[in-house]
Amino acid sequence: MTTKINIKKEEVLRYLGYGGKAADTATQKLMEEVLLEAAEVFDSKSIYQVFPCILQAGNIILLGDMKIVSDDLYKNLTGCKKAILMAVTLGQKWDKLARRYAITNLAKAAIFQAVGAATIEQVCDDLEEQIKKEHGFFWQKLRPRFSPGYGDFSLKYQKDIFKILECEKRIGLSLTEGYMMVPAKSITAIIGIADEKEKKQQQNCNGCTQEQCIFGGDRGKTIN
Amino acid sequence: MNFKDVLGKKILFFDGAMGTMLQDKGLSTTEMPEQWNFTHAQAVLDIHKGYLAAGCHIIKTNTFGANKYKLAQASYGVKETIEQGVNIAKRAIKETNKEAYVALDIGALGKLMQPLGELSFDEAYKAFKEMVCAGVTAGAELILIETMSDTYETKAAVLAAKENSDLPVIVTMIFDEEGRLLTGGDIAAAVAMLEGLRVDALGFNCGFGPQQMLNILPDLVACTSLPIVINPNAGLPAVVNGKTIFAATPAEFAQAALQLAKGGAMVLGGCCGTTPEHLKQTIELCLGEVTPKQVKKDLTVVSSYGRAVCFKEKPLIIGERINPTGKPMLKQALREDDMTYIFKEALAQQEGGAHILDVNVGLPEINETKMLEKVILGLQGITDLPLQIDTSSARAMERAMRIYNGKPLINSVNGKKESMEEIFPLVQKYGGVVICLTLDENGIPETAAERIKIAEKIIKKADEYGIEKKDLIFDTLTMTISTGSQNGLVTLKAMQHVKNVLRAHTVLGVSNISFGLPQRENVNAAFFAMALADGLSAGIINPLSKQMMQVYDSFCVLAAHDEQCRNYIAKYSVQDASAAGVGQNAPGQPSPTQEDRLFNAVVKGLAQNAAQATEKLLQTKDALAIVDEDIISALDYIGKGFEAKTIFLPQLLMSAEAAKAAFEKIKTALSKKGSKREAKGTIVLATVKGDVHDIGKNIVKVLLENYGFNVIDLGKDVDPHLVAETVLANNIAVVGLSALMTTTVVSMEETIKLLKKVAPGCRVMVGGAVLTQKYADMIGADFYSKDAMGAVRYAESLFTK
Repeated sequence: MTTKINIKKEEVLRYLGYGGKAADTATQKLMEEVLLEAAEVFDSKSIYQVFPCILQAGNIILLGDMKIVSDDLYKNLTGCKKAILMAVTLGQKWDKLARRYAITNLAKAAIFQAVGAATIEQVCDDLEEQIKKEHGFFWQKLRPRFSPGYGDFSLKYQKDIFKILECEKRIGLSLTEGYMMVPAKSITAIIGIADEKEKKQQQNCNGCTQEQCIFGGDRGKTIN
Repeated sequence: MNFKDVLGKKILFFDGAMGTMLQDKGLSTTEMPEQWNFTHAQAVLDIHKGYLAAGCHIIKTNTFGANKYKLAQASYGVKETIEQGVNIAKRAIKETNKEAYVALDIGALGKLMQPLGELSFDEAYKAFKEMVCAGVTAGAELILIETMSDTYETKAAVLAAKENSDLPVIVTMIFDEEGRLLTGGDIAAAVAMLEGLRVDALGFNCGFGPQQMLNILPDLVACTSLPIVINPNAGLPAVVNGKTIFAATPAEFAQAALQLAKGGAMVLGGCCGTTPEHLKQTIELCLGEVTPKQVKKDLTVVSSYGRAVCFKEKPLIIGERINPTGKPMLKQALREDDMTYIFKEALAQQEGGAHILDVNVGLPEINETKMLEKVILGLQGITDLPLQIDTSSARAMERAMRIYNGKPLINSVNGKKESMEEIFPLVQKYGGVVICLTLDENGIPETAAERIKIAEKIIKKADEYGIEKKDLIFDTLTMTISTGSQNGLVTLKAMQHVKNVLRAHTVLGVSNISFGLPQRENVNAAFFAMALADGLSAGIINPLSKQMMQVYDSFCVLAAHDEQCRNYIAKYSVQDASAAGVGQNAPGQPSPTQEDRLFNAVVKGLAQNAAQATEKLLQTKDALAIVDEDIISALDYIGKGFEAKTIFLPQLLMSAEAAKAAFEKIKTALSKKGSKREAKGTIVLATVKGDVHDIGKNIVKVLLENYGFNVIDLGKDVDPHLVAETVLANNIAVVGLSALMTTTVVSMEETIKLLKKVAPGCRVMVGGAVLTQKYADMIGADFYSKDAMGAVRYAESLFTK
């Protein structure tokens, strides 16, 4: 499914490490160019399914045909009777443009990298909104996206996710032996659907295990 | 009856889904359906029988994913799984006593091909070959390669099928609503390649239902001469309670299938969600209702993974610049294995307006077969222009045609018996459009009539190989005008005859006309205009030449190939507006010195200005002094700003690129004097095994080079042993490794361990998003660089001691 997208320049700068500072005019201009060229290759594809989510004693999660053992995901999904399994990719054209930039203009390559990060997050957010509408999750709360590789949620589960969602066939996303996704700008995640209405929680960095923040943030604090 | 004898003669029916039917019988979504050939053979048998009872002519074996990658963790191997699958299908036919064919079902491998993914063409071929051989031994009657979304993987599968069996080969691929593959290719590009590979039938499957396929069917009908096969899903998928449901009822499916048959499909069946009932109703409705028809298309098409380029009335530009003849810089790039230089040439030509790129990398001192393969694979990763493979080595040609992703243009064959016997079998096997030079054993004829005779001979000979005239393009050979005043006219006369009487397409290498003359472009441009006016189909020219492109663009306007002059206006109304105002000084200020200009250009990241300022400065100042006093000081200024967080990565990189442009000028100036900038030391860089994110490494490389280090770049996904070997072979003192993912830090550690063992004195610096000082210490790195400047500072500290 392809949709158009609006990328916030502040987000791109944040990924470039500007930490709230303004960019100079040359960078601004270059970013404009990259955003235009990115829009031309933008062709995101996504797929998802909603499954009943069963939490068993200890740290075992049953999601569709998948059985996951993970403390952190368990914590994330506690209170959820359903969960979304999703995969999103910006596709091969995106990777190819990255490759071209790497040859023709390294500054653009770095900016495009940041544009990619901002874009895929936006695509995921949009998909969540769409799922909410399609399934009538009006009063339920969607938990923060939780991807294989977060905390103790092993990357090995990528194999099951790819099989269940048929990622290769449906959205052209494949997994390497080393559990790397190609095309590179891609995300798979589980999103818990909490039964009860909760007070709005901010997307924050609390779940993050990085020791140093490349965006200039402090652990435990929210960066926006 | 043999399947080949019935294909295309009457409407035939494939069966429907296997996977969906198995899931109904209890197959889990995380389970391999092929395992059921052993654990639930009866269920598989019953499904086949259901389809046979419905009247299907062809049943697909339950072997879709039976390849070595998908079966890696399964309890049965490829060979036994396929044999078992074929045997169950044969048993179903025997027990139901129906007349039907067993199709060996081959699906995608589930791995992405290089350069995007990790699977090489040869590895893919091997995996498919294993499946084909097992299927042939077990007695399959045809091969169905289905649910493909990548032309490259499909080519590997088709070659595996053709080279290891005599069975008919059918290919169906998944296209989206706009008629595109997931890999970006369109229908015309896929058809060009598949027809070139001589498959027996082709079409669509999966993706969506028959209704949506009806919308893109005309695009397929318009470009293929082969029987069309369509196996749609039972409508669009919907997920209900975690289960995928397909919406189309058997009656709806059958109605839509009838429309597909009327629209040109000769073989119909089903994919996901279809059942014997869907097929039963389809067969009842369509059988006898439609007589299939097949129209031969006379299109001259070359293709890449992403697009088809069709030779029509509007002439095409073939970019000539990737050819070392007379190009010392390209020669040097080839000798030094400098792919970036070649890739830049390619992208510049695409930008300049080329439709096809000629690729010639022949140099006596390099291995042409290997180099041609490497360049083609690289170009396929960055451009979707079709390529013209240009080599006189039959070996290099065959390898290049094999690994080319699409239907290439071949440069060239000629009227010599030996040449035709060498090239035509390759075209017959791999597909391609061939440039035919009108010369033979007796050389290049002086008259047009004799050149035409050779063209006729080539057409006849090609026909013996089943190569149609549409796949031949004639070059009536441009001879130097300074050696004979009739040379231009003879070439054009022969060309016109080929075009108008033989009705074949034509091509000319234009620039040879002016050899030996002053200001050659004048003559080239005029000759190009004459040739275009006489009906030239394609010119092999330099798309970066303003004069040649002006002729081309003007011709397109004048010959009604540029509706409302749109392209012309877009291209020429804005030109030169950007040239003014750069590097200008505010009035009243003291004019800056050339040194200031260079410093500012590098600091501001203006590559063109930096190059110009360097050129000017070189007239009065020593090259090495410019490096040390001007360029490096500008880089330092920027580098310090970056470290102080007043300047950010994009600016740092713009400056780096500007410095690079300045260094190019320095390099040229020095090489004229037979000298060069002395390297401070040599550093090996690599992104570790399993990791394909190499932007960080590329940034470090440019900065290190700017600071005067020689860099051996091993690329991404690099095996630890290759790093170790390179270090030993070149006596390297510093290695830089990058990794982006937590999972690949393990390979980083492995690489460091190996290095410490074989070259204990070698220092290793590491960097990448997931790394920290603590992590770096843990895996035994000597230095952790938090950013690109850190790597430069560390290298300097080691080499300036």
